[in-house]
Amino acid sequence: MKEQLAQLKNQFNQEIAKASSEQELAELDTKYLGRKAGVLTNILRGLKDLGAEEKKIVGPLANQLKAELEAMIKDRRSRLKGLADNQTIDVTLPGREWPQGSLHLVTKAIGEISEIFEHIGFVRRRYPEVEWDWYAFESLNMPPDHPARDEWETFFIDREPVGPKGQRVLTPHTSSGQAREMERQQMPIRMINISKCYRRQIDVSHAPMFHQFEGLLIDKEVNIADLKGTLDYFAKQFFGSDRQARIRPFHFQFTEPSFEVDISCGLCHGEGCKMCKSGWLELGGAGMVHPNVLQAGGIDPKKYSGFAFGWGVERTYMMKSGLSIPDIRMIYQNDLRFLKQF
Amino acid sequence: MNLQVSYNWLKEYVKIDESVQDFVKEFSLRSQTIDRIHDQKPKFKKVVTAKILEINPHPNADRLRLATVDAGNGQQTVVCGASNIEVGQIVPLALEGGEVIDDQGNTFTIKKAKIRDFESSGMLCSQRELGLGVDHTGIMILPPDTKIGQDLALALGLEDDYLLDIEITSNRSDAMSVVGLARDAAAVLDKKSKITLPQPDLKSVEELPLGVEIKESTLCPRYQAVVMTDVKVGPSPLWMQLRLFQSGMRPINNLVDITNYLILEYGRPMHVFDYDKINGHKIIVRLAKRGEKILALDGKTYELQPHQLLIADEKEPLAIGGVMGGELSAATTETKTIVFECAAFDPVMIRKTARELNLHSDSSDLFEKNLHPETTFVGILRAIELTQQLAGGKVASPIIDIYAKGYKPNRIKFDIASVKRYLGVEVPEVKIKKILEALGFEISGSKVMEVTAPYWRANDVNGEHDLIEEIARTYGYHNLPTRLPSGEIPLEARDHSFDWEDQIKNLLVGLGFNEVYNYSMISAQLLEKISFKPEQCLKIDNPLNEDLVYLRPTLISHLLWDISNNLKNFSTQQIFELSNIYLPTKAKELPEEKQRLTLAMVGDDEIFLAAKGLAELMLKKLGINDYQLMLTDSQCPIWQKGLGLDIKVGKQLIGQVGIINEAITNRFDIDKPVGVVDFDFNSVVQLASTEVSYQDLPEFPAVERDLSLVLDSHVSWGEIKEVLVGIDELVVDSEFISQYQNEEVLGKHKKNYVFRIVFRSNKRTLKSQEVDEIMKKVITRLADNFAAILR
Repeated sequence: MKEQLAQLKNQFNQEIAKASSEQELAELDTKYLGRKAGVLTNILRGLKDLGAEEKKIVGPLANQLKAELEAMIKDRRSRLKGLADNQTIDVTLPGREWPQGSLHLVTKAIGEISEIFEHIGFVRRRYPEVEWDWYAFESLNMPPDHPARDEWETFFIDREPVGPKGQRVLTPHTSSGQAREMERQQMPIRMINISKCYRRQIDVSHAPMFHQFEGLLIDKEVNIADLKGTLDYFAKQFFGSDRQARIRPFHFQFTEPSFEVDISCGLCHGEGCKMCKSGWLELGGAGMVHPNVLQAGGIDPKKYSGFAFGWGVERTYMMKSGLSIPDIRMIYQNDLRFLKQF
Repeated sequence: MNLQVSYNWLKEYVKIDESVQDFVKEFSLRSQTIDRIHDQKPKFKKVVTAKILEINPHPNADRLRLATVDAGNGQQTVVCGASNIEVGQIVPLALEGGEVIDDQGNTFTIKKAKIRDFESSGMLCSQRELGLGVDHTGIMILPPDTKIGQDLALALGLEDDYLLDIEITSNRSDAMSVVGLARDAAAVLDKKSKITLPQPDLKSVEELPLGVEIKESTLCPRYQAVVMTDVKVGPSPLWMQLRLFQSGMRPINNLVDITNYLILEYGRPMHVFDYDKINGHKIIVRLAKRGEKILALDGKTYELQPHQLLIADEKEPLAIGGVMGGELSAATTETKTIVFECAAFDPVMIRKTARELNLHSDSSDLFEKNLHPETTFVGILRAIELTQQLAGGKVASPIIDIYAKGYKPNRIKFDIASVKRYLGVEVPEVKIKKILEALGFEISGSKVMEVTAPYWRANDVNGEHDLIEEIARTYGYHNLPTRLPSGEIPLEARDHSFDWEDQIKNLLVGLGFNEVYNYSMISAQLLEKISFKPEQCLKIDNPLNEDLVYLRPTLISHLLWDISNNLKNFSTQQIFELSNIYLPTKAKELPEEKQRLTLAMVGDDEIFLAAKGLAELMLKKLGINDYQLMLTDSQCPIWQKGLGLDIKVGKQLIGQVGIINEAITNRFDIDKPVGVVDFDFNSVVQLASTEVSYQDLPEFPAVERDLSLVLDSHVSWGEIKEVLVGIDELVVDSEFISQYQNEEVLGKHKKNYVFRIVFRSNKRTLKSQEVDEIMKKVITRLADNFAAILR
């Protein structure tokens, strides 16, 4: 009996493989599973005449086979149906248009940058965008009348100082957060500040509002090697593992020594090409926190040292993606044809 | 500040053997950044020196002239449009087949051509056409002693030179010159310096009197002057002219050229006066009188303020101190006797004066950077030397030197242990000493040294950290190790508002919203369009333009503006912005900065319900469940009457949702209803929660019954829902399905609502009869309360 079932299965397999239409399938269904005279139906019907022992063995086998055959017919049927449907749908018609959302490119850039620094323990913070002159300049080693202030074309709320901390200004850089962070008096500091900045400049390469990010690390025994390591880590994480960062001498009032940070050109890999300056692209500024700045923030420069770095979010993102946006102001004009590209 | 200097000139002061590329790389890593190298190999071809023999008017054109020139091989005639040429001048002549540069920077080839019927066999060239500068106002005039008929590139010595474009940081006024750069290069690259002190002949042939009186010694801490006589004013030699050309200056005459040359060579502004035009032969350095006027060398008259500094004689102003000389006391071609001024001025005063007068000169640019009084000495010596060489002048006075305070060098206590602390590597004491001494510092002591800065670094080297920088850059930042900081990581809880920002933004993007960023600044007009009063907003004192005057107290106005701008391309829009708004608090305090999350949408048929559903979805995703939506104050001008809802948690208002008042959308030229959701994001984040209380999944199946009722149009779903809640404990939910309004079918002021009632017990499977019983009760109650009729 067992053999008979196995043989039946074989035969069925051969026949179903040949079945290529719904009608053939129906015939097959009737032949094996038909209520009146199906081959398997007959066997199942005959089970009751078997001895108790044999019934115990063959019964489940026969029922299992029935389920198998049913499933195979069903499967075959749906496959045949699929073939038929394909012939009635014009697959070249456009797919349904789902609404296409987009994150602003600045949000994307901020997300990537903050994640990279959070991995090495930098904590993201928020500071005022409308800030006292003292935080924006004076605490950063730029007393009133200092010519270095001219480099920041600053928006003022007040023409003259209105309190002990001077005028209210729109933060011209994220460095305004340095003294605020130090005032919290929680050491060590590993802070990242990504924020809107404002300068009185408007042309194809300057928007009056833009974004900067700033890292500040203050601890005992922090030195230039630590800064180099941090910058190199960022360069590799953000731009790619084949890229390098280097620092060159520069000058800022609030760091000493001060550096300009370069990243190796991704196009020529340091050979020098039209896109770069002798193999390197300028990223932004960095330096060891000036002792006067530590003091302004209430930190003893004899005990602690630190480094800071900061530069433009938009520029950094465009450098990474190789985007050539002809006019930087387009980033803030919110033309949906522009935004939906991101 | 960027400086363009000739590489060959630099090499006159420092011995450099490597290629220009290698030098530029090494120098940029240790000193100042060299942005670009411009090969000075001429861009022009077949240009020769020629003498103008004759100039005749062009018979057919008023503006053109016919110049007959000799280029060493016979005469030829060229048509010329420039007005500055004269007979006897030596000029560059581009021959037929030669190449010069057009105003776009492209090369073009000279061809024989007829210009208004006269054949021109070549072209006289301006500096710009030769690629030697920007001047194109006239033909480049070469010095009279230039040999004619020779190749111009050879005559100018351009074949193997490079122009270096160097960015010099503002603290290094000592390096803003060829000599200053050479001095730093020699020190940081360990090269031989060729800088020597100028050696003029200081014996005076005759003594001409000159008085100098300083009334403002704070603003003018040092004033040196010398009288020279028998000077012959004329053109300067070609080598000097070329260097001025290369650095973007225009040669004028030998005396003026010498002062400009000194700006490039030593970074030392000088001034030259005509001795005979100084009334009483006395120079007085004083503050201007109110309204005092001076005609400056740029041909403009400036009215001065009492805090601005004048160089004057006994009668009238001679120069605006450190900024620009006066026309009336300037040296001219007739001048025989001159006074050189070499002074130091207060940088802040110079900067203010230059800004106030809107008069910036090479001189004021340098003085602003704080030139040390000690630097005047070398300047005046070099000026005398060059005048003796190039204008035959003789010294006719002692070098007058008014130096009120004198000079006391900076001495810095320097513990060399701090070098390792900053650099992360040990630098041997011998090496530290070698580096500092090469840079001109004097050292005494060991371990803890006393270091004296050279006078040219007296302004920017004041403390230990400055010395460390000198050591570090010379050692080479690229030679320092690179490693991640090893210190402990701050133990602080994350600020979760950043995470909520990400989550909400990603949700909205998934729903098809486009994120926008507008400026924080806004115009009065845009504020008024949404009925905000500009005078209640924070105002910028020095705005860039009238579009960016106030700090915005709402994001709604900008979002409507964005929608309006995009309407021509997109009839359906969904946008959002998450940014700060700025609310003035007390006068003279910082404003309150609050994060606002605002969404705006247009183009949906059911814009109100779309906005409301969105607000509720967001609240759900934020884990805020116990909120209420209630009609906002009908006085609020933002919302369409009856279509604005306050979103409240308890008594706290956390946002609003609704349709913007049509009057407002009209002002933005938006002809469709705009739905807006406006959240106080700070409050939302405070209430937001990731906590979920798990509820068991139902064990028994639910029974659903749909109901279609005709109602008076004023009956609200909210009222119906209220009836359904609690009508029986087996009613667990009610879902609105659809509505229908048609006067002909339903009658006037009627509507049809279809909704579903869900029944469930958590103890057993419900029987059909018990549900029917409850349904009867529901229908009766709705009929009683709202005169609802089954449909």
